[in-house]
Amino acid sequence: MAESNKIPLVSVFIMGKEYKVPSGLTLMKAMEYAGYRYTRGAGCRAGFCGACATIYRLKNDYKLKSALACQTTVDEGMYLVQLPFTPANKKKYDMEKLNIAHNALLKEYPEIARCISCNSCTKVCPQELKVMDYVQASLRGDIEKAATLSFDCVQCGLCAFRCPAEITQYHVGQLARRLNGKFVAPKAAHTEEAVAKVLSGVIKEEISKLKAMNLAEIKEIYKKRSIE
Amino acid sequence: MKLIKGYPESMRESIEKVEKTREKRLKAQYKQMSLEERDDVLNKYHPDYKPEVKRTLSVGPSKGEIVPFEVADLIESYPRISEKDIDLSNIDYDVDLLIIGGGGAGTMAGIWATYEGIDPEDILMTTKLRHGDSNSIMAQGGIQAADKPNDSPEIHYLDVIGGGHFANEPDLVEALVSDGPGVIKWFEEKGVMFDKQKDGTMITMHGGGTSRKRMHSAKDYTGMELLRVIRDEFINLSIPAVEFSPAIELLMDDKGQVAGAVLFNIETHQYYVVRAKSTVMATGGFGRLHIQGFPTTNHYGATADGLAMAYRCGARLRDMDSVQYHPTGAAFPEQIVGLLITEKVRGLGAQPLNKEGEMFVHPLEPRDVESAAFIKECYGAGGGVETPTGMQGIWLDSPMINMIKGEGVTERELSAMYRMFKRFDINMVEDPILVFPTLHYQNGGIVIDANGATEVKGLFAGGEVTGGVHGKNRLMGNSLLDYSVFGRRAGISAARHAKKASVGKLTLAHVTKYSEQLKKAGVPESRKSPMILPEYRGKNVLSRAIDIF
Amino acid sequence: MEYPYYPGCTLKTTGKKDEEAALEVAKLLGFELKELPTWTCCGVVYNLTSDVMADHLSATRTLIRAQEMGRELNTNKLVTLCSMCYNVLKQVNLMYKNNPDKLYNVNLFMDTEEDYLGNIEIIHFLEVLYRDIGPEKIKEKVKTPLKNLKVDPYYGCMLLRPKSIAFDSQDSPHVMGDILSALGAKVIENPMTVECCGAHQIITNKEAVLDCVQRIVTISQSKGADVIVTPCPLCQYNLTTAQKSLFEKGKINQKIPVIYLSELLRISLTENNENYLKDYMFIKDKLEDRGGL
Repeated sequence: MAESNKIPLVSVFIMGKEYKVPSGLTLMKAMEYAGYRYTRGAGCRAGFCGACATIYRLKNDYKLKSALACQTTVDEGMYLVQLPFTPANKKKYDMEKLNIAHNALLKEYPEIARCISCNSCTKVCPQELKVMDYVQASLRGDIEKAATLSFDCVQCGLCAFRCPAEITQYHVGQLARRLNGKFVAPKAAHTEEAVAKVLSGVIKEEISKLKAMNLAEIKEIYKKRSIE
Repeated sequence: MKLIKGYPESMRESIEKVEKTREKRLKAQYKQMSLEERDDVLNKYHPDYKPEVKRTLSVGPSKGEIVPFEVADLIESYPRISEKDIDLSNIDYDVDLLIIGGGGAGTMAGIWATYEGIDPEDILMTTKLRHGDSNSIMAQGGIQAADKPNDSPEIHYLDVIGGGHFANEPDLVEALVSDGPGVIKWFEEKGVMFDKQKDGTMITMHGGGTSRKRMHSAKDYTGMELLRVIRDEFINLSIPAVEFSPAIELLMDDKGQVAGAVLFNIETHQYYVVRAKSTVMATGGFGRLHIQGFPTTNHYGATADGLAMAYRCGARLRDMDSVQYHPTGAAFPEQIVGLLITEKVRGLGAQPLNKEGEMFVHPLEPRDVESAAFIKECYGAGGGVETPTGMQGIWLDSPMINMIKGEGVTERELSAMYRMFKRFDINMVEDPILVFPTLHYQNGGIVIDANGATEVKGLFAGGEVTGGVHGKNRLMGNSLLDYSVFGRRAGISAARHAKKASVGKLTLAHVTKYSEQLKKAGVPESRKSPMILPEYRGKNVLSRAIDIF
Repeated sequence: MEYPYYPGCTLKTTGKKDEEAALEVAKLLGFELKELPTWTCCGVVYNLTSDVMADHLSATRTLIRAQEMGRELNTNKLVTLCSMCYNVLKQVNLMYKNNPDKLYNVNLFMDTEEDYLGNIEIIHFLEVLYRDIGPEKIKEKVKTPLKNLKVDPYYGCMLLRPKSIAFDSQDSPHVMGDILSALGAKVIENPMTVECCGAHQIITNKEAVLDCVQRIVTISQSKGADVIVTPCPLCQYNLTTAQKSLFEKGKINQKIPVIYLSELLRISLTENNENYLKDYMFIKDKLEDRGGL
């Protein structure tokens, strides 16, 4: 940003207050440029943690838009505010006691039956996930579909803010994925076997041989190791 | 500036060359370097091998060790608080176990301490940002574990030691690789959605420097998927967590043990005193120190606070001279410079190319070697692609992935990457993406034993804050395994210690003593740590800021 | 012939048997039910009691999905299996046909979807069987005549009320009876055939359901029915579970099996039906006892 003087400036309205910032910045960097120091609203800064959920409007457009502040470029005339926290109740459950009956998700989160298919959740999702579809899949007990459709969720919470049925979609998706990973997906037999091999003690023996080698010996073995 | 599908015309010319050579390259293989060739390129081009960017520590338990300037400045810093500021007679949290850090290692430590029989109410996790805001959640490519029939932990052991330039601590490597299969099984039982074939076989791939395909993944959201699951489990166990309250100093007792910490609520600026029988340090790495000015893949809070605090209590550091630069940080567009482009992109078949569209290095050398080769190509051989801001980069020929693996594979397996570039109008299925090495990982750290115990009584540690597991260079997929293995081991050891330990009178005398040493060594008093968060506010604003409110 | 098909949640959970049988029956009769690629819950009863646009969105979205698939399959029909879904979708559809302003408003609101044009025709599986295929054609395809099997066809209320959505006579419906006759079955006339089974009161007022069901099955028994068939998953559920309670309480002295019409059709239309019959030994026994096989 050494040449930021030469870069054209755009006007953004951070919570209604106007600031001029260099074009091309992300919303997050623009807010910092304007003088905001993040405590809330910034986490990984790379689109994975969901801390920087932001909603905004552009001039002359009635649409309410959403973004991750770290992954979106500022635009002239943007009105924006971050929503870094969603009040939401996560159910506490013991995975060992759950099952995948058709009402498994409905039992933990009965409010999904309140879904009116308004699609507001899908429209606001900054990851562009089909949120309504995974809530509907959850409602009819299709755990695998709910898990797959919700997989890329960064749990930013915007869906839960917009939902007129007051569902906390991202918690429902979390449970669907865990049920899917634990009960629906087939188990890896080779992992089980590898664990048994470690427990048998043969690995310890093999590694102790390597540990006993001097530097030259182990370098030689490393160089000669086969690559498959 | 006019962009055509996300790229300026100047870069489009080079893309045309990449397209011309693609057909021929699809069948071509670039040979791997010998150990001698690796040494040569590392010595000449790796940022770590420049002596002029480092200095010797002048105080403390690792006095005499050579570390980068940025690390030395952090370690040789005065504490933010002194004995007179803090009332230690008023204890806010009195617990068996304090966990500092809410990433992968801290979360695992809490879960396993509970399994070990500590009442969740007697545990406290404290974290600077939110629970889960960490490098752990950003890891994309996968987690290594030797659980396939053609593989075995001792083969994994060799890969780790060789990749780490034979500087690793053998006991730690043994723990890492031996626990690997068990870790994967545990994650599977907890409901992690690993990429699998129809019969349940894990889909595994190569990473740089691996001799077997043992990288387990969950699309390119592996770190996020693992962390989401363990955080969910942690909350289900009702373990208390205090967010936005980083530890700013460790407490000791009159018996010389670590006995808790002082926390700082970064929103209300109140401090809290925590007394604990065991303390687990899980604060992660140092990416946000921007060593040598490099951009970083790391999260906002990766400021190595734990290193500075533990050092003042007498914890020794090791291998802090080595920094991991990930070969493929984004180099274009400007908005995402430095962010991680997972190694899985190369694992799936994308070749690194120079501006002429030619290969110049094997795609999967160990990370330090691959990075050095990229830097050599840009600044030694003049083969770099220049961006409009004057940055140099290397092409990653991502369109090859679908050509080799089939339609839709990029969109499905690399959905995070595909989405990130699409947000800036670049379609990585049609066009290559530009990369350059970026600051990625703290290879060294606090000395621990195989049980996650540090050399200071009462203090345990796991994850990126520790050293010895990866020697001088970590292989891809071993960081998620590291936090799983050593977060767990540290949690169990800390729980066992807490059951029989008793805490004496709390004190911050070690902090006073350390400050005196710094003064004697002539360290300027303006230098303070921990950093807590980096400063990114605009220069114009800061130059006119006044502190009256 | 291919029909766009909307299953609804129940057919994917407690009503799976109905869907399995119906999809097969369709194939045996030479047509196909193609499930909409994405669909949402129909909205269920509550949306009928309010005049709030939001409550009709679920059904409207399904109508748009049907419109999209209908373009490909060159039809304006959407087939349902569940009586409740049929009722909800058809009433919402009718509301738009009668109130163009409501259609205009909902399209304005759903601005990320294509406009719903109001042309979809909601039909129940029974209508396809009766109108598009016809009892005569069905009769030709019978492999196992249900000779001497006494069947009581039970409609319930969702298919025939209100009058505006009914596809058969509200007082004396004949569609199911005609189809069953084509299969060779003896059709029982039960005056309770269009009475309510108690519906959703099963959750809040089980006694009310028991009363309803007792009236229905008592008459069915007195007329000598071997089996009650219904096209409705909720009726099937209520009639089956309520009979258990009634039997335990001594209010009825025997239980009558209640199965889906689709299941009986499948048994009759399949050449090798041993597999299906083995779940329904009572049918097999009856057919054999009376020389039906």
